[in-house]
Amino acid sequence: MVRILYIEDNEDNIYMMSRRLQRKGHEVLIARDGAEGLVQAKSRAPALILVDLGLPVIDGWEVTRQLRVAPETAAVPVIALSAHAMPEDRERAFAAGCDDFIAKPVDFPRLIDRIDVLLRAKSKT
Amino acid sequence: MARLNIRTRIILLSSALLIVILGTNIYLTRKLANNSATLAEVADLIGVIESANGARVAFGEFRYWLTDLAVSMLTLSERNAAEARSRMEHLLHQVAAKKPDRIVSVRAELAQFQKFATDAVEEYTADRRVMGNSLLAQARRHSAVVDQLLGSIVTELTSEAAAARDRAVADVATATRITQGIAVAVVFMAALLTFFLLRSITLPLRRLVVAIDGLNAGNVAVPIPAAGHDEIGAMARTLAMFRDTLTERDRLTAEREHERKTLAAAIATISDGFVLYDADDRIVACNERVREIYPQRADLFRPGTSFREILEAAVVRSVPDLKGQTPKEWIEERLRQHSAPYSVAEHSYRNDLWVRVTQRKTHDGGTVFVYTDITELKRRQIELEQAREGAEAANRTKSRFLANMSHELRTPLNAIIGIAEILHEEAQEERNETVSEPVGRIVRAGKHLLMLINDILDLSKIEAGKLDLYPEEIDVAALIGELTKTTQPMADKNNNKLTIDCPADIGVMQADSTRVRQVLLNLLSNACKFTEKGEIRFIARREADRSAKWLVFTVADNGIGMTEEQLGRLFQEFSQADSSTTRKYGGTGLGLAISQHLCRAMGGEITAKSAPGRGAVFTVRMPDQSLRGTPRRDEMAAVAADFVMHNVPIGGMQQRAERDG
Repeated sequence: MVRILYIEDNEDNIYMMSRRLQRKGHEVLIARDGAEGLVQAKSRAPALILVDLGLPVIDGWEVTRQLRVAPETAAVPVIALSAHAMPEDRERAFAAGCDDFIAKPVDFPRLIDRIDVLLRAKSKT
Repeated sequence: MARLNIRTRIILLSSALLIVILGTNIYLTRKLANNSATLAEVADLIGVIESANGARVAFGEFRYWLTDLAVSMLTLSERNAAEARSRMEHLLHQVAAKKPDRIVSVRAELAQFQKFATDAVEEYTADRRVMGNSLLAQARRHSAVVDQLLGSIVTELTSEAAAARDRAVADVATATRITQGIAVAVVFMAALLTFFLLRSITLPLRRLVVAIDGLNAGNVAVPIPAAGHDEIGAMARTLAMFRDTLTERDRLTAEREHERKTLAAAIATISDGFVLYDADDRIVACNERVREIYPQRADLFRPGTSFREILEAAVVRSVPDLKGQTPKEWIEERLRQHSAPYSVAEHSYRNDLWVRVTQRKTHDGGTVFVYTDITELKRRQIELEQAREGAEAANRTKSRFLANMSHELRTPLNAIIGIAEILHEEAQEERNETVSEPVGRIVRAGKHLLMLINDILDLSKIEAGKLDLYPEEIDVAALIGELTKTTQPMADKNNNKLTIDCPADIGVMQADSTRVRQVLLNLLSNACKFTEKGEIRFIARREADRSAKWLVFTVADNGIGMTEEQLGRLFQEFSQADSSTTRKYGGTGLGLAISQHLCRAMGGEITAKSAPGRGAVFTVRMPDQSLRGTPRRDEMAAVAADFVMHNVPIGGMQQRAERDG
């Protein structure tokens, strides 16, 4: 079981994603805007963070940048999940410090695959 | 004659006359000398005649005194006879100079006479009268001979003297005649020579005068006499030179005039305003057009007006757009520009008049101005600019709209597909067919919608020229293997056999692997979809031609195939045979259109061959070095131009080190 923080403002997506992740046996923390996401990331030590990019208060790119700056979250893998599917969007995401980018609609098996890869890579270091 | 100069000619003429006169003189002198010799001879002969006559007289006296002596025997007579005899001898001696032979005869006879006479005297002295008489008679016969001889000598000499005199007279007469003849001849010759000499001078001179008169009258065609070697020849040459200069000048003048007229016609004809200023910046020439362009200043565009006057009038009458300058500054700036060797400037005036002023310095410090009315051009430019801005704005709006649409569609679609998948999974786990079947349909429809959104985004990126390509080295054999693995399940679905034909040493190619994969996968999945229980062959080959090395991928099936008409619109958007095809076979109808555009963007091409019921063969030709180094912008441009309705700059093809995964 892995604790995953999901920062997302769309309730349907929160519902869908948390249900699917929980079905895979993960613990899912939910933050509904960027600021809250940052707070939870620091306070509750998730093993991995999924972040939507178009977030209220602080957007996903900025959240990622701040996560990377903060020492307690700098090593936590971050996967951007975004409906901003344009190449420039994904580039901005990588530039901000995301470890991966998956366009919505999320190909769930692929997401699980990426999560495994990133966590394995992290546990090795 | 013309070979000699005039001085030589006159000298020659005078010399000839002098020689003739000298010759005549010599001749006359010699004749005179001859004559005087003849006359001396005559005088000589007359002396001899006198001597002969004296000798005759002396002989008469001698005979007398001898005869007398014979009679008288006187000593006086004897003395007288001796004296006469010696006188006679003296005279005979003189005559002997002329007539020696006759004088010898005379002397012989005289000796005979003297002997007989002396003998007679002796006889008479001895008083042998008869004897004396006989001897005397004999003496008388000899004396008669002497007399006769002397007489004939006188007669001969006289006739000789007369002949000599006659000869002298005749000589004088001949000489006189000849001299007269010569004189006449000399006069004639002198006249003739003088005539020719004068003619040789005056004739060419007259011709020269005619030529000069002709030239003076402006007739350069007048004939100039052929140049001789004399002074007139020199004059003729000078005149010919003068004529040639005149002709050349006339020719040049005519040429210049012709050029001027041609230029004037050209200046009048050109559709632009034309003004030529001299080095003092005063108008030399201008055409009507410039007055049409600047009607307010039409009266000023005439020869003599200065550039500054034109500018000052421009400020007041044509009212140019001063671009924030004062009229004085504007004029000064124009004057500064004016000193540059070449300049082009555009000026706008009241009434929306736009004029492009091109000026260029001429070699002699003047300036050529060409005024082009570009009002219409400017109007179009502005329209075009506005249209371009409009198009760009529309395109930006469209891109933004697409991005937004994509985002807005994806967010709910994410939930739809995700939740449908949860339900589908749960229904399957519970083996609840009544739920899992319809939910499966929702999942498939959702995924189809997602495909459509992705394809539409791809197409819109291609249209906007914003398709990014990331060339990298691709191991072709590995790519084929991977594609086969992906395709195999699709082939199996319709019970198709998938065969691969790829040489092991096919090597690598330089291309955007994602896009190459996308293109080939599209063709392979199409083949699998439209073929049942058939065979799909996937072939890779290398080819080379003059321009490049190519990789050729062929996807051949023996499925349903296509009609000629379907083949024709195969690469157009939404061009599946009909809507029922979409329903039956799935797909968005955008795949081939996108594949073709991607392929072209990488410098390649997709071609298709097919017939209904006989399968289809799709061939992809791609350069093995597509887009190595700098992106091939021209190909992108071609793709975009081919496809795009908007006039939008093609961008976004920059190389990126980072690859999307």
